[in-house]
Order: sequence, then C-alpha cells, then structure tokens
Amino acid sequence: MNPPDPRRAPPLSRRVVTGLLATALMGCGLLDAPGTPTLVSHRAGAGRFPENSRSAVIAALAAGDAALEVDLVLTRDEIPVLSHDAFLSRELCTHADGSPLPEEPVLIKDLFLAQLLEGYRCGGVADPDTPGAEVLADRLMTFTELLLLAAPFPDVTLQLDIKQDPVDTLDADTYAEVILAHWNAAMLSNPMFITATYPETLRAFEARQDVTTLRIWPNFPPGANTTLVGLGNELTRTLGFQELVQLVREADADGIAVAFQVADRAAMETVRQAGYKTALWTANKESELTLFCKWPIDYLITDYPERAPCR
Amino acid sequence: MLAVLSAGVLAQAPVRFDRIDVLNEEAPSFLHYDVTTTGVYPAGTALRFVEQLKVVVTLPAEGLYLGASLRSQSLTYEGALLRTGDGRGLFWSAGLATRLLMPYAAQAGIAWRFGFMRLGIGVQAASGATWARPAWSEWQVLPTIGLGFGPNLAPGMP
Repeated sequence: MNPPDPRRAPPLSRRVVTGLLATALMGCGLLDAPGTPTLVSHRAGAGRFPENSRSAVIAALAAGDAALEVDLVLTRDEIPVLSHDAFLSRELCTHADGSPLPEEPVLIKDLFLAQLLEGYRCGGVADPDTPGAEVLADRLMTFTELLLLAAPFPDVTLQLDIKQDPVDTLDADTYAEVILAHWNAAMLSNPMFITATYPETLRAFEARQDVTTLRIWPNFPPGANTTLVGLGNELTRTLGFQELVQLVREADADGIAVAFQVADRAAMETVRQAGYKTALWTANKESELTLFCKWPIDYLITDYPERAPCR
Repeated sequence: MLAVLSAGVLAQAPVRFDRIDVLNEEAPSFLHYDVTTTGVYPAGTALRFVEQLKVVVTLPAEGLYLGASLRSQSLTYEGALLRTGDGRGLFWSAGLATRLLMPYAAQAGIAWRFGFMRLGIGVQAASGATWARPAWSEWQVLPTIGLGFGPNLAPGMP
C-alpha cells in the first residue's frame, strides 16, 4: 500500500471539513446560557471569620451576602448549635481556659448546651483551610441566635446543613423534629433549604414538612481519603452505576449539591432539566468562582463570596 | 439488543483494530465543558480525558465500527462520500452510543480519513439514561469532534 498523501485530498472536501471543524470548535464553551447562581457563604463565610461563628454570621449579614450556609448539630438536651462536625474540632476549638482538647473526640451529643457554652471555645486557632480569616475565640452559636440575627434580613437565604449521621449524633427524626420546630417558631420569611449527606436525614425532614432539600454528594466520611472517595464516585457515575437524578429521587430530595471536583456539567444540566435544584461546593479560588459563576446552577457555595464575579 | 447484534457480527469473523480516538465523538461534553475546567482542577480534566479515550475496531460488515471507552460504547456505520486514491477520504457516519450497553445517545456527522488519522465532526443528541435510571426524558444536543489515530481502516479497505 502506498503511503497516504494528504496533498491528494480534493480541495473542496478539505475546505468543507475545515469549515465544519471551525464551526464545531466555535461551539466549544461558547454555547453557554450564562448561569446566575446564588452565592452561598459557606459556614457563614469562613474566609472572613471562624467557620459557623457568631462573628462570621454578623459579618456576612452586614456585607449583604445573598445566602448563608451553616452546619447544625444537636446537643444532648436537643439544642441545635452551629458546628461542622458531630464533635468539637481539636484543630479549631479548646477548653475555655485555652488548654487543648483531649485526643478522643468530644461528641456534641454527649454535652448539654450549658456544658458546651461554659467549657469550650472555638475559632481561637487559625484555620489552615481559610488563611487570612480573623482568629477569634468564642462560644458556639445556637441556631436560635442565628434566627434572631437573620430576622432583619428577610431576603437572605439560609442553607441549613444537617450534620446528622448514624453513629456520632442523635437520630434523624429527632433532628428533623427539633430543627423544624425552631424554624417554625421563628416565623421568618427568609428562603430556606435543607442539605444533608444521608438520604434518611432528608427523608425525615420531607416527611414532616414541605421544605426544600438537597442531597450532598459525594459523601466524604470523616477520616476517609477524599481523593479515593472522589475517584470512586466519579468512576461509578461515569460507568453508569450512579446517576445524579436517581440519587436525588432516592433521597426524596428536591436537588443535589455536588463537590465541584466531581461535578460534570452535562450531568448537572440533566438534573436541572428534570426539574431539580443544583448546588456546587466549595469553590474558593477566583479562577474557580469565575468559571462556576457561568454554570447554569442554582447555588454556588464558597468561603469567599467577595471573590466571585457573579456576586 | 446492541450487545446481541454486536456478538452476532463478531462471531462471523475476527475484528481489526482501526484506531484510538484521543477525542471521542461520543463524549462532546469533554471538549465543551471539561476542558474549560483544566485551569481550576487539572486532575479532574485529566481523568475525564482518560475516561473518554476510545478504542475502535472494524466489524466484518463493511462500514460498521465498534468503539469502547470507559465513558461509552458505540456502534457506528460509515458510508463513502468522496474517496481518495488510497481508499480513504470523506465519509458520512451515524451511530448509537451506550453506557455499559444502555443506549443513551445518537450521533451523526462526517469524517475525513487520511493517512493514519481520522477527523470526525458532527452532532450528538444525548440523554442521561443509565442502568441506574433508564430514562430518556432529558436531552442535550452538542456538536462533536473526533480525532483518532491508527491503521485507519476506511470502509471497503482491505
């Protein structure tokens, strides 16, 4: 067989191919219907003040942030407090006298609110995940305090991330009962939605009240290798064993909140086409925020809302 | 059905390696969406690139090709539009894409085969159908580009 000679290609067909190729390339990235995601201040804006802290909430409301995400955990006496983990973080919290916490986890479900407020302080240690944030030791904030602070800002959306899990916290029904009771008693007109990792947590809320719920995906269990967890979920989704709409329906939820590292924009668009809400977490760099501000999603979660061009 | 059809065709004669697609026509979202995330999450883009790499073989039936990547598997037919002296040239193509043999997309386009390279462009209509959710209710239409290298066996070539 003679070696192929591209010079023998008919000029017309080559021009046709070049023209069509140029057209197809122009489509790449230019087919966007620009998104208008609502920016959500992650952990009340952990890039400015300690995560889930009173100071962070006050600063976010004063700055005019569109939406605040806070994490909720129940104490032993079933009082919701703002905390990212079911236990007090050894990295971010200390005893009230400044001494470090013991190695074994201090579970919030084992402490009464009074013990928690009197015995511990959080935010007084710099968080390596949010360099530049103010360092300010304070008592944990209660959900009731948050609702009181948010009341004068009825346009601010509240994302309540429920940190209920099968091992380290009280059960899902108790969480749903208590948190919805607090929310309803406050009679706020603020838009609000619930997020959680476990389907049973979301179902417990949906069973009690018509409330918007988003499933957090993927689930990164404490101590797990996040790269491996992300990779595993990416591959199972790519191969077709998992599908985002199916994950939403499985939890009886109204949408899904996806880690941006495993987010597939085409799949996110499918979720929206199916009538569900979408959120992306947690984009913090300017380049990330610039990109994701153009995605057609409902919520973009960030520690640094001030860095986003779609603010 | 696609699996049965493929198995039947494969049973008749051995298959021949056609090419490896470094840009997969069945995964246009890689070029449209994933490449744009390179600057913010290169590891993710690299993984998606690997996922869409496709091996293509010719089937005994003339013009029929079978492709497989992690992201999809496909059955494609190519017919000649303009042939060059070596039997390659310009071809039209139409195919069905599956995810673990669950049909989810259809595409059509043209392909220019020359030397060891095949360049294809076209359009794909894709649904989110998977075995986890076998539903064809949501569709996206995207232009496609395919770029492959290999022996490049055009339909009818010995």
